[in-house]
Amino acid sequence: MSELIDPLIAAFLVSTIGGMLRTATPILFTALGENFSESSGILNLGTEGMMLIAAFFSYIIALSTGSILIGLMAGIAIGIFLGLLTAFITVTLRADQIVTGIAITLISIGITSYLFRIIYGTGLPPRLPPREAFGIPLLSSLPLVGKSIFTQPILVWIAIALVPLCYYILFRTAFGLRIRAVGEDPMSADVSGVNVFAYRYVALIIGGALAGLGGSYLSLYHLTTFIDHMTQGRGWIAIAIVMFGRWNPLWIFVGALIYGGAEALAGGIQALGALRGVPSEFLLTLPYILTIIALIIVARRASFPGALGKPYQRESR
Amino acid sequence: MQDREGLKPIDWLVTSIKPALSSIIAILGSIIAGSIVLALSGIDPAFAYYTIFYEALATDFGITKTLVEMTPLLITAVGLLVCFRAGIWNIGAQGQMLIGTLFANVVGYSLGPLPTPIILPIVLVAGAIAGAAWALPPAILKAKLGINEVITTLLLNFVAINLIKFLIKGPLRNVAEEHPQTYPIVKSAYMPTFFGTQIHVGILLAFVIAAAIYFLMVWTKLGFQFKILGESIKAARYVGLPISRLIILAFIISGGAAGFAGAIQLTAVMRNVNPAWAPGYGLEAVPLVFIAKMNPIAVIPLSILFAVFLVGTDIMHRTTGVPVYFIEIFLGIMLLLFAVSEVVQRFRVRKVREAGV
Repeated sequence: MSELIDPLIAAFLVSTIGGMLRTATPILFTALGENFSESSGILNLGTEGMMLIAAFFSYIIALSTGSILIGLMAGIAIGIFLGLLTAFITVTLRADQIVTGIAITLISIGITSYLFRIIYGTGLPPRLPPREAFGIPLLSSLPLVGKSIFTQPILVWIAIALVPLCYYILFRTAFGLRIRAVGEDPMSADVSGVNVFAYRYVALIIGGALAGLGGSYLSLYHLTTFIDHMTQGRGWIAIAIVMFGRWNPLWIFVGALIYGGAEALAGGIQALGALRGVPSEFLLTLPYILTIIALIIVARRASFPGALGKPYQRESR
Repeated sequence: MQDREGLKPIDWLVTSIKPALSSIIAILGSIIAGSIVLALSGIDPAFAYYTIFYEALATDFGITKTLVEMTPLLITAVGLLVCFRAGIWNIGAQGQMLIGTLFANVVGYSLGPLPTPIILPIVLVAGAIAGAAWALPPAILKAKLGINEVITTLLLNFVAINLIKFLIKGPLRNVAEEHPQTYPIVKSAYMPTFFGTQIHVGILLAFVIAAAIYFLMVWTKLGFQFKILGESIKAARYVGLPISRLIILAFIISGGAAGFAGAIQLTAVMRNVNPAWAPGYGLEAVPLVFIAKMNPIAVIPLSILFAVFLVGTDIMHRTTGVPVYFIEIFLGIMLLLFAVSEVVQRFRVRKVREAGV
């Protein structure tokens, strides 16, 4: 008997872990980007909107050009554009960061669904062909885990590779030190000759590009189509993950995996039919609740970048 | 006077209408930006705006609908106003309204056919209590652990959306109906209407609540404490205000208002809840409160204006096929323009002041 059940449980576990990596990926991209913005002192609440717009544009561009790569580039480009726009509004004009982020998200929710209706009407949207997976050499030929865990879309591996890279940039380079200095104490940074505005612009552009990548992953790789407000709060979850990770890319990776695990588990249980008769929405609340619990666990230990959320103006020195 | 003589007439004009200037810029600017969006998608903007205002204001049906739509907006907005004034960013009114409405619904069918003067207040208060209860976790997390309330309230919206879908399709489902929905509230819990129209008592209640919040914010010590907290948490700490208690109280008021607003919609319009019900009032009230510059009086005409746009775009959607999502673009641009003109104005005033010195 046990021989019959064990392989099933093992398969379930392994496929959940594989799913966890895939569902964590868009959150991870966005959170790593948001980490640059927040480390530089800008709380960018527009990540949800950036992801959504990128998901939309990468989808329509990929569909019309037939190239996933061009779609991906379009998603990153629109993310960079929105990062620049946010930088202009919050850094140069010094508008309220929370209001700006909410406004950008509201516009994004509206404009994506609006344009989608104009372009495709109310029918079912066309689907993109599925992405092919990329297996890590040697590891992907292992039995059981090789196919389910070590064979994933290439963007999953890129997201994971970005974790140590972002850590290195933020904590081991002069560039990263300046980003953090600008977020911790912009006045001192300015006095010592660091251009506060330029570094915040760059940080928001990186944030926009990565949120664009995260959003494009959702439409091009995850669902291979576009649905109204398909990000479903993932942009805000990414912000929560940055707080959970205390502005450290390594802990952000852990946070993204926790969220990804919850989403994959919810999907897995649903697919298994273990809770037959229970509407699937019950499980869909799980990732959000788990994210909030994660925030509670680290709450006391969080130490925010000193100038997070505060606009900087030179005259006030 | 001396300062004023040094100013150009245009600057003088700017300082005279300054209090409302950024709101006016935001509204006019979003109308212009909206025309561009409409024109780009092949719709004549003049015709579109004419349709919106005509449909929402020039017909009996439109006026009634505008007043009915204004009600939940106004109540949610004055609740949020208390939070925002206190510097607390509760973006979770949407979830608070959903939970409040569903609980009011359950109370409204499980108490039995009590007389209206008894059951209707109970149902409405039930909605307020459940809405306030849903606002409590982010309130406590903010007050006791300092966890950012923007994130928790936004995430709890998604929890609420999925939770009520689960409850409506599962435990609370009306098994007599083919499509998933809850049991309707008893007839005696229906909100009374005037002269056989759709104009209901809840509309008056909305104005009463707005007046109550005005009184709270302008005339009471508590309202003053909220304002101090919103101006500077350091000042609040310095004068020894009970900060945790104020935070939790502000959340309870705004969550309660959102739940109450939902309960009014339930008793006056919906009568039961189905899983497709996705009210936008909670999100739309956020720009509304900002454009009103958190002024409890200004919230009233702006709620009417927002309701005009909601009703107008909805009817326009049905007659001309302009996607309803136009309203989100419109309100988002309005909020963005408001945020920008607020700070740009500050530049201008400073420059004017420097020139005067």
